[in-house]
Formats: sequence, C-alpha cells, structure tokens
Amino acid sequence: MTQGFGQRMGARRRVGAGLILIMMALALTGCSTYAERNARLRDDVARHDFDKALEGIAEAERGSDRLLNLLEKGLVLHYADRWTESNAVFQEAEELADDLYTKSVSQAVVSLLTNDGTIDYRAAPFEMAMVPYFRSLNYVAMGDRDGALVEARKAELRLRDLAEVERALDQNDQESAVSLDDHAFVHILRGMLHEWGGEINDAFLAYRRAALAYGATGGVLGVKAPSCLGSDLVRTAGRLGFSDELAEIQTVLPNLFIEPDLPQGRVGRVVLFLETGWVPRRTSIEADIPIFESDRRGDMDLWASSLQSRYVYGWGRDVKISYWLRFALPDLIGEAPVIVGARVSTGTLGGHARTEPVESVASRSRLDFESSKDGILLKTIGRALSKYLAKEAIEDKSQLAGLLANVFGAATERADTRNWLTLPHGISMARLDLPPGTYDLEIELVDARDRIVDVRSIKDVAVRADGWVFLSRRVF
Amino acid sequence: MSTRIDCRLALALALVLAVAAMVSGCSGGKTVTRMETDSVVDLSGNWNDTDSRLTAETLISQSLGSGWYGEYRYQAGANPVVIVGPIRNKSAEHIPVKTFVADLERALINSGKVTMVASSEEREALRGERADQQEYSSVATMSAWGREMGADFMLLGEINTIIDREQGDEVKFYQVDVYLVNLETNVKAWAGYQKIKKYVSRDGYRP
Repeated sequence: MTQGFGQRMGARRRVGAGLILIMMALALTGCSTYAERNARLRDDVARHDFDKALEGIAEAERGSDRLLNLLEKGLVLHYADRWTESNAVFQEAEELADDLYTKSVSQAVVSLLTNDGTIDYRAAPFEMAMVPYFRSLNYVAMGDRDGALVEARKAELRLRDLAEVERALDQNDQESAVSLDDHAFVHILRGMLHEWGGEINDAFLAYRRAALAYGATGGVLGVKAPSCLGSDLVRTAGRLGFSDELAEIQTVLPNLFIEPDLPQGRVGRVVLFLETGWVPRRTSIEADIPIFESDRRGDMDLWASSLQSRYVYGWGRDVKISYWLRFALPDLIGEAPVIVGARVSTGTLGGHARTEPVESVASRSRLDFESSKDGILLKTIGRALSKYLAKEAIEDKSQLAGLLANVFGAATERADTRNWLTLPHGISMARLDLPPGTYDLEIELVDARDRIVDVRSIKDVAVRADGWVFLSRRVF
Repeated sequence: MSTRIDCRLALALALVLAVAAMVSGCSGGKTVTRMETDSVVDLSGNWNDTDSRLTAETLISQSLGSGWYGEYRYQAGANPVVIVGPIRNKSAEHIPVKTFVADLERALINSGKVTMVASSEEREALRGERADQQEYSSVATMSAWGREMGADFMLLGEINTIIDREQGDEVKFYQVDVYLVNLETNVKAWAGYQKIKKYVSRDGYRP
C-alpha cells in the first residue's frame, strides 16, 4: 500500500511542526546557558539589591548547577550581611563539592549527546579556594574568632585537597603552571587570622607559605607580596625564637624585608580587603555549518577547507543538506575594573596606607581557562562526532528519525559557560598599625591613573592593643 | 506506511531524548526516616552528636572517678560546686561547642556527685530576672540578691584535630582535653582527655 503525495506531505508537515515544537521546548527549558539565565545577577549585586539577586539565583537554578548556585547564593548572602545564612550555604557548597569530586561522571554519556552543561558543575579549584576567605569574614563579622580560626585551618586542608584534585584532573600528569597549593593570598589571610587567635606558630608557618607562594606565582598572577609580609615574618619569628627559619627566608626572598620592622609599641592592626570588579565570565562562541549531500569526504583537508569557507562566506540555496553541524565553544571575556585600589586614612599621624593587590582572581580564572581549553576543544569535537554518528546510525533505520536526531543534536549544542559570576576581579589589601583607640576610616577609591573615583568611610573602628580588625568592602 | 513508521520512530526518539535531557536537569526525591536519638550513624566522618555525648560521658566519668573528688569530699564534707567554662574549638571543623558543653553539664548533673552552677551567660539572664523581681514581684516571693553560690572548680578544655589525607582517604584524629581548675588557687586539680579516631574512605578522584 502506498500513500499519495498529499498524504506524505501532510505527515511531513506534522512531523516538521513537531520538530519545531521540540526545538522550542528545548530552547525554553534545558538549553539556556548559565550565563543567560543569570544575566541580571551582576547588576542586582552591584545595585545592592540582594533580595532580587537571590530571587534570580533561585529562579535560574538547574540540577547540574547546584554547586554554582550555592556559591553564588553564599556570596550574595555575605554581601547582604546575612553571615549565618551565608556560612550555612557555603558549608553546603563545600560538602557538595567534596561529594562531586569523588563521584564518577556517569553524566558524561548524556553530555556527549547534548552538551557539557548537563554535567554537574564541580567548581574550579581557584573558586573553591575563595570560600574560606568569605566564610572567615562572615565569622569575623559575627565576632566569632574561633569560627574564623576554624576557617583558617580548613583553608590549609582545602588547598591541599585542591592541589590533589588538580593533579588527579591533570590527565597529562604534568604540574600546572601555577599550583593552587601556593595560594599566597589564602596563606597570608590564614597567617593573620592565626596571629589574631594567638596561634603564633601557625601564623609564622602560614606567612612563610605566603611569602614562598608570592615568590613562585606572583609573576604569573600579576601580584606581589604585600609590604607588611616581611614585618609579619620578623615579628612572629621573633616571638618564637625562629631566627634560623627567618634567615632562610631572608636569603631566598631578600626583597621582602626591605621595609624595616620598627618597634611601634603596643599597636592594633586594621586590615582592609578591597574586592574590585568582576571575575571574567564565560560566553559561548557558536558556529553552524551545513554538510551537503554533495560534499566529497575523501580528502579531509579539502573538505575541512570547504567547510571553513562555508562558515565564513555562507552557502547558496540550491543544495541538499545532509547534516547540520553545530558546535559551541566557551570563551572568556573580562573587563579591567574601574576601581583598582584605595588610599585609606584615619586622619591621624601615621594612619595612612595604600591598598596593595594581593590576589588576582581574574588571572587565576584565565589560567584555569587556558589550561582547560585543549580539553574543551577535544570534547567539543568528540561531541560533534558522537552526534553525527548517532544521526547516521539512526538514519539507517529511518531518515526522519535521523533528521530529528540532527535537529536535537544541533538544538542542544551549547558551550559550558558556567563560572562563579559574583566573584571579584581581584582583591587588594591595606594594613594600618594603629595605637589603641577608635577611628573613622576614610577610603579614597582610585582608578588605574590614581584619580579619586569615589570616597567611602567606615566609622567607629575600635582598635585594641595587639588586637586585629578585619574589614572588607566590595566595589564595582 | 513507511512515513507512519518514521513518525513513530521519530516520536519514540524524541521521547527518549527529551527524557534524557530532563533527567540531566532533575534532582532526586527526598526520604525522611525517624531514628532513635542514641543510634550511631556516621555519614561524613565529621564530629557528630554521638561523639559529643560519648566524649562528655567518658570524661565526666573519668573525672569523678579520680583522686581529686574523694580528696575534696573528705576535706569539704560536701559535693564540689562546678561550672563549665569555655571549651575552645581548635580543630579544622565547625564543632557545635555549645552542644558539647551541654552534654558535659548533663553528665555532671546526672552523676549526682557535684553541684552545678549556671554559666556566666546564664547568670546574666538570671540576674536580669532577679532585678525584674525586685520591682514587680511580691516581697514574699522575690529572690534575694547576694545569695548566689560560687563555684569551687571550673572545667576548661579544647578540641583539637589532626587530619591525614591521601588520595581521598582520610584519617581524622580528635583529641578532647579538659582540665578542672580550682577557682581560688588556679591549681589544675584534674586533667583528662578523650581520643577519637575515624577512617573515612572515599572513591578516588575521577575526572
């Protein structure tokens, strides 16, 4: 029994309409990228509309982005001064991250037929390394010194874990250009927290790790050891009687000790962390290239060349398309922040300091992206091939099903654009050693040409002898 | 006919692919099961309610069974008055210290061998209430000032951890050190400790 031309056309139209519906459904549901779903997030945070930012995160949540959503949420809650909630969410994020790193990736199969966005986001090591920083600031704000110290201890373990994960993920078994175990900023933060808690030995060890890490990675990251680090080492080594250990560091890093550690009597230390701008975000570069039935596939070079010119210049109408090749690759785009630092003053003699860059999250993000680029490209090609082979196999049974497989493959092709969007571009630090008293801090925010962009103030900063005050501000 | 088969195949494939896409974005369900509060369940290997309770009971049992107690009873002819002071968390884990302090207090009170007095935080609340009574309660029922019982000993301590990790496997070693200090003389009348060692095995990291 044969069908008439009109019946066949009607059936094809119905199937065609079905395909369009499926594509629309996919586009509306599972196929929007993380960046697209969180398009408003940065604007909401910059406007300090934290409730709206949290609403947006909740609305945009997808199963595979769970960890990322927790990280975004934890940071937004931190900026909203909801410290307890922020810590609870970060705790959940850390537990989930541990869990995800120890699971096999069964989702890889699905990702080969759809996109990498279907795989659980596991966070880059440099992202997880920032969690103890924000959590310790939460505990500081709550006046919970023991809690902050737990974060300092946890940070060391986490860096050790992340280095192990990094090594495990490195398929070529090569050391990365910048080892995350040498996270200088986290080490100097640990040092200051330990010293605040009276744990001088731990403080000295952390300062030493920070000094060595700045020496090893500062050039790649574009940051150098802050001027206070030499004094911190001299002070803590002096209290412990670690003259040999100090001499060893002085030999390795003589520039660290240019500023003399003058005895200042009993002072308290004010630390201001200035978080500037936004970490680069991932975007998607997409390409659509039709493969014609008439394509000669014998000579791969020739075929690749003709596909390239087709991609660049387009193609005529009078062709029969056998396969719609679509691939999407992530790219990293970022902007240098307008505000790059600050001049901090108490208005008293000796109460002046400039912030110094201590951490470049942007550089770490770029390094992480660059190191994963080859893997991403390989995976994208693998995915394109899988989709093509799936279509060919299905087409043997049914042409229409093959067409549908092609449409599905093309519609679901998305670059994995996920990264922690609310992280800052970088962190700079100002340190003031002040006699006991209460101070108002004036903070002149400056751009790259040292012009004042804005002025902020922090009132009633109480400084106690031998005490530490930790403050942080986020500027955009 | 062939178009009809095509349509069925296409529909089946669409369903399979749609399910695959949905599965990748859906999270699993949740199951809640009630359990006995004294049952031992180790999920993460972190400090948990069982560690807190058993450590407190062991330490208090050790303390009240040691020489200082009999000596004090012999000299004073009464139970010692004890207060639980700060227990510092020096571990790399957020341990709910207040729960542990409550477990210590409960073990001390339930032993029947000591008299416990309220902590400094609790005393503030009690004094507030007492001040309130002076204004609003009848003379016959109001609590008098200056009749608080002072403690003879304070229990102090700290929780430390040593964590050894390799390839996803982890050994967690908790040591809880507590001291009973004579409040008048600062003499440490007793020192005790409890150790807990846990081995946490995880699947290896897989990219």
